[in-house]
Amino acid sequence: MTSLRRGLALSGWAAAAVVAFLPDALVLRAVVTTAFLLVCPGLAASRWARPGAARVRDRTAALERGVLTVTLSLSMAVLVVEPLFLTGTFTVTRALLALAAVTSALALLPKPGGRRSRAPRAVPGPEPGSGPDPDPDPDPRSAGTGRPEPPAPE
Amino acid sequence: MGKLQTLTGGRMASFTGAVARRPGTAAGDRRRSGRTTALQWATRLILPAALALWLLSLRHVDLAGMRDYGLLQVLPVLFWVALGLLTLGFCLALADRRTGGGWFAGYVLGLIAVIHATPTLLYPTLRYSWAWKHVAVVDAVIRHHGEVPHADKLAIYNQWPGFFDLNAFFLQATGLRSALGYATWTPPVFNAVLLAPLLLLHRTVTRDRRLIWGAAWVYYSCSWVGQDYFAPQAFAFLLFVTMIALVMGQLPASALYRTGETRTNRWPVGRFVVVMVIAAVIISSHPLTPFMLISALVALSLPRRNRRVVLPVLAGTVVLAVLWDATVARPYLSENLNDFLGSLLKPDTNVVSGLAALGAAAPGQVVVSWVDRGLSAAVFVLAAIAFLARPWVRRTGLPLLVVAPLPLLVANAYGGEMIFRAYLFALPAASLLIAALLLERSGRPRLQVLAACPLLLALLGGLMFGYYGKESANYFTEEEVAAGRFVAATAPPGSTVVSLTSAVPGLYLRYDENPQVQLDEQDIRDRRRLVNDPVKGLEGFVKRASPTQPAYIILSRAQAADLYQRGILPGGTVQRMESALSKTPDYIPVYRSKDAVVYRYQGAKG
Repeated sequence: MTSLRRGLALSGWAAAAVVAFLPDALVLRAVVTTAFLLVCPGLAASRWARPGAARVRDRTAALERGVLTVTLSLSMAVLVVEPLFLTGTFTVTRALLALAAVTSALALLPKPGGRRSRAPRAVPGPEPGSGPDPDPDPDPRSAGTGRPEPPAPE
Repeated sequence: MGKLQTLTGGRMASFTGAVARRPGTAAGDRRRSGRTTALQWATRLILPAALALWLLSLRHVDLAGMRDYGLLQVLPVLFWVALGLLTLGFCLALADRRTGGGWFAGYVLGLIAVIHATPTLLYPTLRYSWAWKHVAVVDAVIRHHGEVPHADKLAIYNQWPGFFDLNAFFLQATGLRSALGYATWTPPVFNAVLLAPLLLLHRTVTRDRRLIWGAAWVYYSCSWVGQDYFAPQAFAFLLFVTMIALVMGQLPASALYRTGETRTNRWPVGRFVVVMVIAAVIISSHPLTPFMLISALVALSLPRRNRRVVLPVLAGTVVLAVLWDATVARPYLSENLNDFLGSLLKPDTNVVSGLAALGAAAPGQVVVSWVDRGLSAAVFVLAAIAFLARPWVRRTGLPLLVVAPLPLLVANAYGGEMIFRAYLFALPAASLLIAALLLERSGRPRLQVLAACPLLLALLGGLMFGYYGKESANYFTEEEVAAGRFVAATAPPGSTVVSLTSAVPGLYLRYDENPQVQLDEQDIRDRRRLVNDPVKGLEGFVKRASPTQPAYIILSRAQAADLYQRGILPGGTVQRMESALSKTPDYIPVYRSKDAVVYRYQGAKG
């Protein structure tokens, strides 16, 4: 298990502890909880949901992971607090503990269907005329195509 | 289906084609290298210079001078020089094949800063009355631990509470006192965050850096609708673009995949769960965006080749939306079902209801309105030309995404906003079509960029009219904020709060305790009575006032500007009301400042 996964698994509990023991006005509390709420649940979820390792080094994959980190963090927070507010049972501690548990689970769980999935068939690329692609991707490591890519322009 | 063409093959062909056009002689390379270096230097110098000039231009701006054209008429020449320079620098960056993604990112983020951080830096208070209203809703959710009672017309927020619940949770977890602090910075931050899913969406159809960044620039140059303030729409729109990017990335024609990379055309379980999580949040956070989402998914599912990817997402979204509407949102929907059905039967009124009453509006606002419409029409026309002139875009989902919001125009007026929302949801796809039209690589790329530059400037000019042209009513002075806060702090529960328009900061701070009356929304006969005799016109709205539950009438600078701009009531109504009320003993001035006055009325004496 990587240190990132261990850190993600612990992050929610650390945020909950900070909220429980630090007073409202403290900057440290605002910084820790903001960092957790904006990053950790989404990062754990996007790691869990990533379909495979094929695109790990692709710049687009990094962009996608960044997008999902923020949007999923916010989305998961919404899905955790909405039922609590709707049922009149919301407390900050309950919401944070629920989010911490989900984040831990996503960080520690194996990916769905990871080992059992069959090798998918290869798809050669988009259909005719699906777009010009004159500019090489700047990340030469991202190809995995078996063909040399043009050098990255700098 | 025809034979599949590989992306790499296309790229290599293009690459080798470029080599063939420019034989690689040593002299040729030197010349090209020299020219490129000059371009690179220009690109690298112009960005910091433009940003420095922009910041310098904001030192002395007379906000009190805003009238018909809002910020347009008070920003100094230096500001426009900075904006022009920024556009020129971006065009030079486009002309240079070797410009790195970092410089493009710098220019687009610079554009976002210049457009969206300018009001934040200039104004002493939170911009736009609806942003104030949403801050008030978050406060009310915290006070009531969830559903806000007696919410009246704001009850809709109880049924789509995602955005407000999230902020209530965030405030209490971080220990911050109010959303006011970060709501001020929402427009620049939201637009900067939106850039990432936009790029992701554009990367699903092309890997040409110039097209991707050009499309981002076009998007921010045309996004005049202003749905980027502290609001559920902004939040849901961010999620919408993310979700559409994920779906587009999974389509068979997606450019995200490379030759030799493997995929199954089926959703990996984790990825599908992620998409459904985002859909669920959209559905529970905003009433309109789920319809836009379903419409976009239906459009994407029209080509047979997409259905294996799109239909599961569409089915899941519809099921979640029906579940939400049948449970949490049911009270609101059952109350408004007749209106909704009525709207379906009058599609023509839905389409035109968003247009301003131009005949009565301020002269400058007529110009602003026509520029808005011109820009919107130009976007659709350019996208249509791209559809005809660039055959490859027809194979992508972009044209479908551009037309997807249009059916909703006939379904509901959405308070007169639908036509603008349809434009907003079409813009992410339309922007790449426009970029493809203007910037797709040709034999003479520099000439091409030279030709595109004036058009990019024109689009940006149109945006400035739409985005800055109404600012005299969106900007609030500290005195106006103090007036709103005074009423919220001193009005006993049950007091009626009367305003001429919604352009009052803090008007809704206690909306769950104090009923609100907004005079510009009243029946035409009531408005006419008000214009003829302000005191008699007010009588019907304050008749329940008593010493324990008085009525408060707020008159302020931004309301006068709002009325002048829109022409719903005659421009001088605020002054005439102030004059009439000051002569009536029953109306007691309880707060007065340069920009606002508050009268208390507790029933007629004798």
